[in-house]
Amino acid sequence: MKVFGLLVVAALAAATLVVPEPAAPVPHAPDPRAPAPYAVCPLGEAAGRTTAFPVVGGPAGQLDANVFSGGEVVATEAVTVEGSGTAVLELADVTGLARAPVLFGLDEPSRAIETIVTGDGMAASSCGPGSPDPQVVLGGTTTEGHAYTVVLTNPFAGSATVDVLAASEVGTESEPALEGIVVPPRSVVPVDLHSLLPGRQLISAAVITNQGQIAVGALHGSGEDISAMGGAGPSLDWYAPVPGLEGVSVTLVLYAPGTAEVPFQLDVYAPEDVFEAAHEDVIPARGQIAVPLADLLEGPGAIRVVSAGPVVAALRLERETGNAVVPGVPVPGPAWLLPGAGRLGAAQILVFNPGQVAVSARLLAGSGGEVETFDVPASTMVAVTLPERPVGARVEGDGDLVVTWVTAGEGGLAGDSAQPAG
Amino acid sequence: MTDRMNPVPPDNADVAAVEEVDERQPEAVSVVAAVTVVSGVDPQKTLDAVASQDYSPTSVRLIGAHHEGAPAGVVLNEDVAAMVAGLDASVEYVWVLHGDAEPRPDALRALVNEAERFEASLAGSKLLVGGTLDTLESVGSATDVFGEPYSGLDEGEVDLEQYDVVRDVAFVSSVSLLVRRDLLRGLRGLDSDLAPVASGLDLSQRVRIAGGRVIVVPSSEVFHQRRCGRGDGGWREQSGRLRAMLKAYRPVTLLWMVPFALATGLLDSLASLLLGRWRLAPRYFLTWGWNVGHLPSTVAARRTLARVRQVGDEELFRYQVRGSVRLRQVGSELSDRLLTMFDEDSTVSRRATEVWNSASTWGILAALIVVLIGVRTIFLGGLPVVGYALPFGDPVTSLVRFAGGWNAAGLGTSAAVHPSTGPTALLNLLMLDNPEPARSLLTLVAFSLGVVGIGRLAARLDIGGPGAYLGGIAAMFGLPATTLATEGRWTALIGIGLLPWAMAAVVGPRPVTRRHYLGSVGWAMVALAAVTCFVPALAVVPLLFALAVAAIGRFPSRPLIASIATLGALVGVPYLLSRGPALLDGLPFQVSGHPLSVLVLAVTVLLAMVAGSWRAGAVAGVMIFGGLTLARVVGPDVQEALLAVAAVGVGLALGAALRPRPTRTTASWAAAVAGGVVLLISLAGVGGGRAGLPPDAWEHGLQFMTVDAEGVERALLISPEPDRLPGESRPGPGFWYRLIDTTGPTIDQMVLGPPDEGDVALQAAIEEIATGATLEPGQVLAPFAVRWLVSLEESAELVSPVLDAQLDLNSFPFVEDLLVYENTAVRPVAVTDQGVPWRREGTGFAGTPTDQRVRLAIAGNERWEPDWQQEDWAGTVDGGQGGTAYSRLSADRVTVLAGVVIVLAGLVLGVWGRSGRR
Repeated sequence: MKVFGLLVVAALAAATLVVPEPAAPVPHAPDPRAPAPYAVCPLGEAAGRTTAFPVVGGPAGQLDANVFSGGEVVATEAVTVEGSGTAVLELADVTGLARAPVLFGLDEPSRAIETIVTGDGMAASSCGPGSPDPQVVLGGTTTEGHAYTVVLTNPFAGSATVDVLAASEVGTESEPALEGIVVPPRSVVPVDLHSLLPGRQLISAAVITNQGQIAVGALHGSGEDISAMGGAGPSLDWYAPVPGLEGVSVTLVLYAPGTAEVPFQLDVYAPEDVFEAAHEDVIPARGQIAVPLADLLEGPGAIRVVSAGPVVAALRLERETGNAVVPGVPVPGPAWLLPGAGRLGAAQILVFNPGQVAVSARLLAGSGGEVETFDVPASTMVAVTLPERPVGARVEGDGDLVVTWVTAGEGGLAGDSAQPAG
Repeated sequence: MTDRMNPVPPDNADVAAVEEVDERQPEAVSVVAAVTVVSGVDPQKTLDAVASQDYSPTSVRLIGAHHEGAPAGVVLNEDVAAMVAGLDASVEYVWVLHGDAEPRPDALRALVNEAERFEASLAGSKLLVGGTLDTLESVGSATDVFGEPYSGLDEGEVDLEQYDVVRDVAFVSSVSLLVRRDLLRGLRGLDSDLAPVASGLDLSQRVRIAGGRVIVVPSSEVFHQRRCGRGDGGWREQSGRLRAMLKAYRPVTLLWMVPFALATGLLDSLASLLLGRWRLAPRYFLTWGWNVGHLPSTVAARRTLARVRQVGDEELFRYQVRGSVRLRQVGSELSDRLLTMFDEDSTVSRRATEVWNSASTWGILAALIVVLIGVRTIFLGGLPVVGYALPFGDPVTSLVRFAGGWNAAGLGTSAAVHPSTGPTALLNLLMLDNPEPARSLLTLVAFSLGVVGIGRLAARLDIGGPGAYLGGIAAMFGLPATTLATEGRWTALIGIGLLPWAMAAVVGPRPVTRRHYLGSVGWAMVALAAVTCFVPALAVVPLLFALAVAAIGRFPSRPLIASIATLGALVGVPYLLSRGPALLDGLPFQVSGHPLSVLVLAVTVLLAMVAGSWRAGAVAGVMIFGGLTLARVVGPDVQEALLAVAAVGVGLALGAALRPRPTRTTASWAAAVAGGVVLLISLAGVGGGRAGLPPDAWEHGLQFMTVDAEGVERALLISPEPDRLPGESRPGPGFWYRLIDTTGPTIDQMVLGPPDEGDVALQAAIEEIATGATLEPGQVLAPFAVRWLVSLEESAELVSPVLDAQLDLNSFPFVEDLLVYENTAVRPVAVTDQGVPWRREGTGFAGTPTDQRVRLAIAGNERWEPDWQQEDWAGTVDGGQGGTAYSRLSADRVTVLAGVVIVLAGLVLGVWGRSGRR
C-alpha cells in the first residue's frame, strides 16, 4: 500500500511536469483595416483663391463635407453624387474662410477627391485620410517672392503633436519653431517656411506625428503660379511619368525621412530604351536630393526610383510662368481615378506601363463615358490628352499602370498623381 | 493528612488522632448541630456523620417542617430561627449543616477549635464534592460588589491542601458553618427565603456587619452531595445574592450599586448571547422581579440589621474583588471560545505557561507574523484593484444581486452574480459601508484563517504541530497560491484560507453527543458555504475529501456530516449553473510553475511519506499534483478550485515533512530539509506585501471616471491581456475588453454572464471601430451607454491608429499609463425618448414619471417591469411609474435564498452545538 501511494504521488508529480500548460489566451486576430471612411483636403481656401473639390468614383450617394477651423466644424454640406459617380463641391458655396480645410465623410470608400485651387495660378492636390506615419511634401521654394506654406490640419477629435523636419540645398534644417507643433482638434495650423527658413531654392519637409493624426498639404506660391502637394508617405519604389512639355524643366526631388542615409538608383524609361541605374546617389538622412531630369531623359518618358530605404519622390515642373509638383506613384495598379484632371483645362494623362507586357488601357470620363482607348507598350509611357471638363477622368487597364496628369495652360502649370480606384 | 480514599473513615488511626486532640482541648464549648433538610434527600447519612463526630454536639436538630419522623436522639425543628430561639444560653455555637453533606469525623472539632482560636463569629468548612475523592467545591469565597461569588477555584480543581490556611473570607457556604448562637439569634437566623449559597452569603455579611469575624477552616472537611444545588446558577441563587447585598449595604452604597448592577446584568446578558446563552436575560429579569416582590421583607431585614450594625460597608469591600465577576467571566469565555475556534487543540488558549512552552505556539506566531508581512501593503495601502480583486459595491444593492437580483455585469444579465458578492456585501454592511477596510480586513483574516486552518486540518490527519502552521504559509504563498495571485484571483485566495476549515469539519472523530454532532453539521455547513461563496467549484471538495479519508481508513472521517453540509453549497449553485460548459472548457489562465519548484515539492512529499506520514503525505501529494495537473485542462472556475486544493495540499505536505517525531530517521531529516526549502520558496511570495497580487491597475487610473459618476453610463476597458482587466473579459480584435459602470469596477460585476445578443452587438461594434470603418465610433458605442473608452498603453498600437482619426471620441490625456477617450455622443443606460436620463436606483432605474417609453441599454428580458418591450438587443419600459426594476421570483433567487436559510440554520446549529460542549 505504501509503495502504491508513493507511485501514485510520483506519477502525478510527473504528470504535472509533463502535461503542457494551457495555451495563453489570445484574442482573435483583428480584421484588416477598412479603407478610411473619410478624406481630408487640407488646402481648401475660400477667400482670395477659389477651391473646388471634384469627386469621382463609386455609385450614386451622398458625402458629408465638414469645413473645420478653430476647433469646431464651421460648416457642413451634403454633397450629392450623381448616378455617374461624380460630383463637385465649390468651397465658396459653403464657407468664406480664407483657410478652410474640409473633411469629407465618405459613404463609399471607392470615391476619390481632389483639391483644385485657382487664383494667382492653379494647383491640384489629392485629398487623403492622412496618416500617423511621416508625411512628406516636396518641391517648395522660399526665396524672395515665393511663399511656401506647409498646412497641418487635424479634423479629428483628439489633439495632435508633430515635428516638421525641413531639408533644403543647405542640408537638414534646424529650426526649433518646427518642433512640437500642437495641432488642436478640428483645427488647421499653417507653417510658413518662407518666414522661418527663407532663401531656400528647393525645400522639402517631412511631418513626423508624435501624437494623434493629421493630414498635411503644402502650397507654394511663386507670384506667377501656385503649386500644391498633399503629404505622401514613404516607400522603397517610386514611379514618375515625365511629361514632354515645351519650356518646362523637370526635376526629380527625393526626400528620406528616416534617420539613415538612403542609397538609390534611377531607372530611366526613355521612349527608345530603358536605362537601368542611369543615376545612382545617396540621400542624406532626413535630407533631400534633386536630380534634374534633363540630363537623363530627353522628352517624355518615365523614371523609376529604387531605394534602399523609405523615401518620397515627386517631380517639380517649372517654367517661367508656372510651376507644379506632381507626386510619384509608389505602386502600379490597373485602375485609377483622376478627379481634377481636365478641370483646369485640357490635361495630359501620363500613363506608364512599368511591366514587361503591353497593356491595353481606356481613358474614361469621370462619369464613365469612354474618351479613348489606347495601348501602352511595355516599359513605356504614353501621354493621352483629356479635354477640359468639370470633373476628371478614370483610367482602366488590363495590366498594372502608373498614371499622373499635368495641365499646362495660360494660368500656369498644374498636375497630380492619380488615385487608385477601389 | 486525612485519608482521601475514604470520605468518612472511622478507622482506628484517625480515632487515635482525634483522641490526641481531645486531650489537648476539652469539650468545654457547647454546640448544637442543626441539620437542614434538603428536599428529596434522606438526611440519615448526614445524621450518621454528625453522630460519628469526635466532638459531640450537645444536641442534634433536624430543621425542616416537611420531614416526617425523626431518628432517635434527633429533635425536629421547623426552622433555624425557631430552633435558636429555643436554645439554652449555655449553647455557644450552632453548627448548621445541610442534609446532603457528610462531614469528616473531625470536622466539627476543627470548626470549634479554630473559631475559638481566632475568635470568629462564623466559621465555615472546606467543601469537597461528594462522590469524588478530593475535588474542591469551596474554601470560602470572595464576592464582587454585586454579590457574585468568586471562589478562585477552577472547575474540578483537586485539593492538594493548597488552600489549607485559616483566613477571613467574604462568606462561607451554608452547607457547613459554625456560628455563635447569640449572634445567630440576634440576626434572626438564616434567611429561609434564600437558596443555599445565597443564604451563606447573607448570613456571612450580616455577621460581619454586626462586628463578627467570618473565617474558613480548611481542616474542617465536608463532602457535599450538591443535592441542594451547586450554587453557581439559577435565578433563585442570583435573586438571593442580590437580596443579601440589598440588605447589607448602606443607602449611599445602594445608590450607585443598583444602577451598576442593572447595567452589568444587561451587558452580561448581551455578551452571553454570543455564547449561545439566551437564558441570562430572563434570569436577570426574574432576579430583579423577585427582589421587587420581596422588597418589604428586605426593608424589614435591613431595619433588623441596622440595630446590630457595628461596621460600615468598607468592611465588606475589604473582602470583595474589583469589577464584575460575571463580566470578567463572560469576557474570558468569549475569548476562550474565539481562540478555541481557531485552535482546536487549544494551543493558544492553554495556560500562559504552557502556551509559551509550546512549539506550536511559536509556529503559529511565526506563521501569523509572516502573513502580516505578506499582506502588509494591503493593510497599509489597501487592496489593489486588479483581476478579481475588486472593490465592494453598495452593500444593499450587492445583497439584492446576490439574492437573484439583476446582474449589472457588462450589458447586464439575469445570470447569477459571483457568490462572493453575498458575504463581501454582508461584511461591508457590518462595517457600515467602508469597503476598503472591509476588503483589507477580509484578506488579512482569510490569510490568518488559512494558516491556522492548515494547522487544524493537519492535526486531524495526525501531522499537527508547529510545522503545520508553517505549512499554512506555504499554502497561502506557495506555488498554487502564487499562480492564483498572479492572475489576480483574490477570491480564490480567500477560498484557500477557508478551505482547510471546511475540510477539517468533515474529518475527525465522531462527535460524542447528539448536540455536538448537530453542532458539527452546522459548522461544516457554514464553512462549506463560505468556501463555495468564494470558489464555487470547491463545493464538492469537502465531501470528496471525507470520502477519500474514509477510504484510507487511518483517519476518522465524517462523510455523513460532509454530505449534509454540502447543502450549504446551494448558495453557489445558480452561479455554477450559469457558467455551464465554461466550467470545463472555458478560457483557462496560465498554470505555470518552475519545474524545479514542482520537483522540490514532489521530493518533499515523497520524503515525508517515507519518513512515516505516508497516508497524510499521499493525501497531500494527490491534492497538490492532482490539482496542478488537472488545472491545466479545465475552465477557469474549476482551475481555481483545483489550485486551491493544491494549495491546501502544499500546506499539508509541509506539515507532514516538518511533523515532530519522537525519533528522527534519515528520511525524516531529509523531509524536514526539503520542507524547509519549500517554505523558503514560498516566502518569495511574501516579499511584495500584496499577497502575491499584481500591482493596482485600475483604482487610481479610473478615478477621473468615478468622480460624480452615478452608474448610468459605462466604460469600455481594453487590454492586451485578459488578466489585466478587472474581472472577466471577452476577446476582441487583437485585444480583450469588458464593460464596467462608470462608478468603477465592483465585485458584483466581476464575472460576465453568458454572451447574449447584446454582447454580439457590442462585439460587432468594437470590430467595426477597430477596423477604422467608422469616423464616428462614439455614435457606434452610444447605444451601449459607453461614455469612456479606456485602453492600457500596451494596446495603443491597435487602438491609437483608429481612435486618432475619428470625430466624436475626445482624447482625455490626463491619465498616466492609459489611453482615455470620452464619448461625446454618449447616451445614458436609461433614457426617455426625449433624452431625459433616469438615475440608477438600487438594481433598477428611476426618474420623473413620463408618458414616453424609457430605453434601457441592458440585455434585459421580460422580467423588467413595467411593460418590457424588446428592441434589438436592448429594450424599453413604460415610463409612467417613474421607475423600473427587475422583479419576479426566479429559480436562482429561490435557490440562493434556500442556501442562505440553510447556512443560517447551520450557524444556529453550530453555535448551539458548540455551547453545549462547555
